[in-house]
Amino acid sequence: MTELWLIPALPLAGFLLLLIGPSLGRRASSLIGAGSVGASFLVCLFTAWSFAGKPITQTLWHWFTVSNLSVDVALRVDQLSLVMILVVTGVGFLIHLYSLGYMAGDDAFSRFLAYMDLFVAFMLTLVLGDTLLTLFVGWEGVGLCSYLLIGFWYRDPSNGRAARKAFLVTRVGDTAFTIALFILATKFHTLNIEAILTACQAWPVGSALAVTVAGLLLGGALGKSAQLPLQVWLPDAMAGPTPVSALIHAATMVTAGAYLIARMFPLFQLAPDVLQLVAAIGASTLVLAGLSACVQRDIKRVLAYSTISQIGYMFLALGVGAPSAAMFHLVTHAFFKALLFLGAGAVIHALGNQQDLFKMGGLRKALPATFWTFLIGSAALVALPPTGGFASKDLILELTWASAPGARWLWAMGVFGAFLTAYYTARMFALAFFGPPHSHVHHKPGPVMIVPLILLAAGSLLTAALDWPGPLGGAPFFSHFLAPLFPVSDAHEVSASLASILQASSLASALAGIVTATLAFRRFSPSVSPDRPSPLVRFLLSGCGFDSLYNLLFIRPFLFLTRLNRNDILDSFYTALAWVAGLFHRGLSRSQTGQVRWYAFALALGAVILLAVMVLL
Amino acid sequence: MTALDLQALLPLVLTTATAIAVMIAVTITRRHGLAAWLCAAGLAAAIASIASARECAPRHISDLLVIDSFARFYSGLILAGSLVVAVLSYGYLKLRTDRHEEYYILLPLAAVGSLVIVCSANLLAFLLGLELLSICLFALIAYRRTGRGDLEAAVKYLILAGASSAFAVFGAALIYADRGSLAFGPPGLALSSPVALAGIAALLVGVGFKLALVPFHFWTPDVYQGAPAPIAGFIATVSKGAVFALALRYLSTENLLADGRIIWLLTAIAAASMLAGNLLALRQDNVKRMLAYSSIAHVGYLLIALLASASLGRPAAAIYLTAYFLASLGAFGVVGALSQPTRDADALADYRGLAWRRPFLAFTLTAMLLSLAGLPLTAGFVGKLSLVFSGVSSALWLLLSALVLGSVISIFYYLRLLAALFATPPASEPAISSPNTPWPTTAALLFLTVALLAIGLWPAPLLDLIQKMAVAAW
Amino acid sequence: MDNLDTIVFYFLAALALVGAMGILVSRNIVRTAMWLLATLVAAAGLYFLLGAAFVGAIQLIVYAGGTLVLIIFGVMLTAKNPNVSYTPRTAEIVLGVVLCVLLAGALIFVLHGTAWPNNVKSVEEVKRMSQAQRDLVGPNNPDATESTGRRFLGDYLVPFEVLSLVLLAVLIGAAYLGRPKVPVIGAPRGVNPPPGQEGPRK
Repeated sequence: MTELWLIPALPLAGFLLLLIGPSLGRRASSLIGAGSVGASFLVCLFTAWSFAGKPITQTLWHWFTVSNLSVDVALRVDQLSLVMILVVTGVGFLIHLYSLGYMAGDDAFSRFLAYMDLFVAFMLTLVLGDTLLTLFVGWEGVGLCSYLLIGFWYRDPSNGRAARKAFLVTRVGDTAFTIALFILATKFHTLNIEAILTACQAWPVGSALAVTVAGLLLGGALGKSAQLPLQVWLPDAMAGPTPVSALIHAATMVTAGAYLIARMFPLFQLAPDVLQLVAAIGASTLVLAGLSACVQRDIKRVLAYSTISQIGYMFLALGVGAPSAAMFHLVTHAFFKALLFLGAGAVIHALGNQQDLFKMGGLRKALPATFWTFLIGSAALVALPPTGGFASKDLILELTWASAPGARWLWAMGVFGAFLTAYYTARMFALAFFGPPHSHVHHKPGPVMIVPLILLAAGSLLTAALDWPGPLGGAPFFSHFLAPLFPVSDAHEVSASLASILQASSLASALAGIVTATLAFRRFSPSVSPDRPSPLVRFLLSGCGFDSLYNLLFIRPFLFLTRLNRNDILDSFYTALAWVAGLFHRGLSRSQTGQVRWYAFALALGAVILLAVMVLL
Repeated sequence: MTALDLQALLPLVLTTATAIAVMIAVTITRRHGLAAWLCAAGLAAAIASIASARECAPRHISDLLVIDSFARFYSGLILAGSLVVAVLSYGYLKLRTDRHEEYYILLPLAAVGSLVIVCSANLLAFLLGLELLSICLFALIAYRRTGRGDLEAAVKYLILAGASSAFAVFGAALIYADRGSLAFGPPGLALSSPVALAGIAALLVGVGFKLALVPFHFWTPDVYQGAPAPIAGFIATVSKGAVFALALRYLSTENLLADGRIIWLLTAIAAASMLAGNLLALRQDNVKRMLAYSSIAHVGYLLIALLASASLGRPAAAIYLTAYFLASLGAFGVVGALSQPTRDADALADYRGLAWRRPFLAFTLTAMLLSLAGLPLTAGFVGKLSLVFSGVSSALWLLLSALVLGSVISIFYYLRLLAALFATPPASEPAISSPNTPWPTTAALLFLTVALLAIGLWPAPLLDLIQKMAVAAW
Repeated sequence: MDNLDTIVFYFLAALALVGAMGILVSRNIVRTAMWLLATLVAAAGLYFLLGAAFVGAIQLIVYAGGTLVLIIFGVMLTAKNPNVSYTPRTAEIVLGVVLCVLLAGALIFVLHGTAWPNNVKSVEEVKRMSQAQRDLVGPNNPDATESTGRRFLGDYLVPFEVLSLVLLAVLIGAAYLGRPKVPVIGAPRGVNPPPGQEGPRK
């Protein structure tokens, strides 16, 4: 299977066709929108089936050559990107299917599907890119689509603000990425990933260049994946429609940062300090975001903080040198987080756009299918067996403990994070589905929304089999699959007994979280909860105050300076330019008199000047 | 004249045959569609015949013409431009109730004149082609005969073209007096003799007029405004392209680009054109005049390629000219598509809110304007990039600064038009309402847009072709 | 012989200059056409002086006999007021004169500064060259016209045909532009000619 271009081209074709969507009608738009992703998924399946272990490259065309930098547009499938494209197209297809039902009442139906298709096309370009520039094109493209989709309901200005915030914050990361690209292009005269990874082996471990490039790439990954300190945009991005949150801000785009680090992992291995930073950021983010999730009222914001937290786990795994564990968690997370978001969407949709948890309740009887699938998703998030979440989180924690003696405190943070995860998940689940109902159900979700939920729930359970813990009778299929890229070292082996103890401790912490939540829920009732929450709760509610911090550090000084500069000293350069241009324009325009004798005079004058110069000089 | 000569001259012969064929068809039956089809088919056949001339190239036809790969490339460009103009003219002329068929006789003849200019290896051939081109343009500019600006435009063009041709012929005579021959070098002209220098200066007047360089540019806005939109496109592209190719060939073979005076003159003219062209267009409300002024600036940019080193400058000139052809023809094509029988769509108010009324035309115009401004993803960007490369490699800092300044200024007026396209349309009836675009116009505009974007995204095939053909070995 | 040549040359040159000045200065269009005739005849005389009998004859036939007659016909048939005159402003006259003086001065400087003949070695060679060229097309060669004609259909066939295309373009363009005006449907007032002036459709 070498026709890799089909994989991103099919959703792109869907996008182009959907540009004239309003004139095609609902049925055709639905078919094109979901069908193009589905067709791409089939192509990915075929690629996977015919994949024989050797990477496949397809060079599409030679883009440009500038001095000694030559860039092609090329796609490449190896084990890592194969996993990613299957996840993107598979989960993406189910989300598209779901959104056919969710967005059915919306006027801009085909615009939505068009943007979603464009996003999938760009995400696939990002993952399949063989050169860093192709990857970057996809990187920027998904940023653009995220902006378009967050601000989808553009008539409400706050949605536009959220979209701009997302775009600007990720821009900071993208700038770091671009600088890294420039450095690599200057050093290696190529942007081909394989070539770079091979050539950089010549750098000594810990050299300044490796640390700089890895650090800059990390900056880009932090922005895209909403990790500390660039995590502030993701909770606000929930302003977009729920399928968008599911696809972009849970399953795919936010994981692009983790994918980038995994893809460039040999480079990162040359900068152990940066890897330690990655692990530290991952661990701190997961705790911080977990704390924030514990007090949120909006169901989607809980899930947003949860996403930030889970990606922290992926970064933690990458930082301790276990990229295949990170990727495994990425896969399972895609399934259960998408499931949770879509389930939340079903709840929101059924209650008539009600997102406040304190106004939900008692939906266990009213929405049974949603209840059971949400239960499975929550169980996966909490990492209870036999879900995929259990297998992946357990693997990460085990490898964290085993990686280095100093990593024990990272492990402890991970376990604390498991406690928090269990707490907020159980809280969310209980508030939504148990207790007295505070809103009534307008209409139940239709089959086109239920079927993806069921399939995603099945996926959350089945993915566990990919890398089920050995002591419990499983085999590490996934790690073996990725072994050609990420060799498994013996240093990361733990004895079976130690592994069981580690599993038991993380399981215990999860159960403790559930119990705490249940106890809190018993004593809780919305009418009693104070309208003015305590300062601690308010602090956690705002995402640990990062927005205020950035406001203080960056925005206020900047606005202060701009107010100072209101009459704009620097701008006067540009206004002067414009004024001079206008002056010359008026002067020259007067020379266009419309009279032939003047034109002929100018012609003759020009001739005289030419003659004079030629003859006299 | 041997058979091989004829084979080399096939594009010229076929284009002439097109004009004759249309003329004969007119005498049999007067049908607009038939004339237009014949003209287009003939021009297309001429383009195809350029390939057949490959086997006998390079070939001198009686020391007046030369058919080498350089001439073949530019011939292709000119014939393609003429073909697009012919197709666009069909839709434009259909609305007018005058006789249309003479147009399709004069258009191929103008193309023949341009081809002779491109293939000339002798000043005599250049002057002949110049005359043929100019005369056909006189009639074509005045074609609509409404008396509201077009006759004035034609008369202005007549008088000024006549004056500049007089200078050009005089220059040729002086060069002949110095050298005894009108053929192009090598060896280069003896630049110590004042007669030769005066001759070159006078010749440059003629060339400068056709290229609309400062200070010979004054006719441009009036003529473009008065001419029918497709003919304005023809003047902007084909006529300029032909004379530019000739200037390139002449200045290179006569080794004049090494002379300090010529460099000084060309630099001054180029910088003045870049700045004056863009400054004049700044607040122009009439779209055709704006495009006219911007075309002055574009030829100023092209002169950078002329002054740069041959290895980088000539490909840059070819690619920039190609991008300029596509974008200008597209822009004038949209202007023509929007026109009514009584007047052309040249007021800015005609374009307000066009994106909501006629999205295809607005999209085409957007692509064309972005290419003219030199923004990435369009062919214009590739062209400008090549120009800047060639300028940097030859350290032409003054010209490059003028290019940058000019481009910055140009973005203002291009974006002004672009913004008007997407503005909310006024509540009252639009200023101009034209019937639906006929399919040939749509097809031509679609082709231009696709070509523009394709070259912008994937310039490699065109750059290869240019490297093989347009960089001759002199 | 040289003296006679020189006198005749100066006479013809003066005639050409006077004719040109007359064109510029005269107020009456028909008189302008007559001054043009003088200039054309002077040019024909110069051709004869150079020994190019063929070109001189063509000049007289085509320009003086054809073009000039056509101009006069055109002027007489279309000019509404043959005495119409145009008076330029004083500033324009001054500027124009200054420019022309500059141009003339530059050209005189050029012609004066050139070493004539500057591409051959000696005057004898010049005389030999001119003799050879005169032998080809001049009065000493009775077959001058024939050899010119052979050239037109041999080496210079392509420019000859291109010239005929020029004439074709002129013909078609003039015939088209000279047609009576056709009304444009839906045009505002002032665009269409008043009814009665349209004439038969051709």
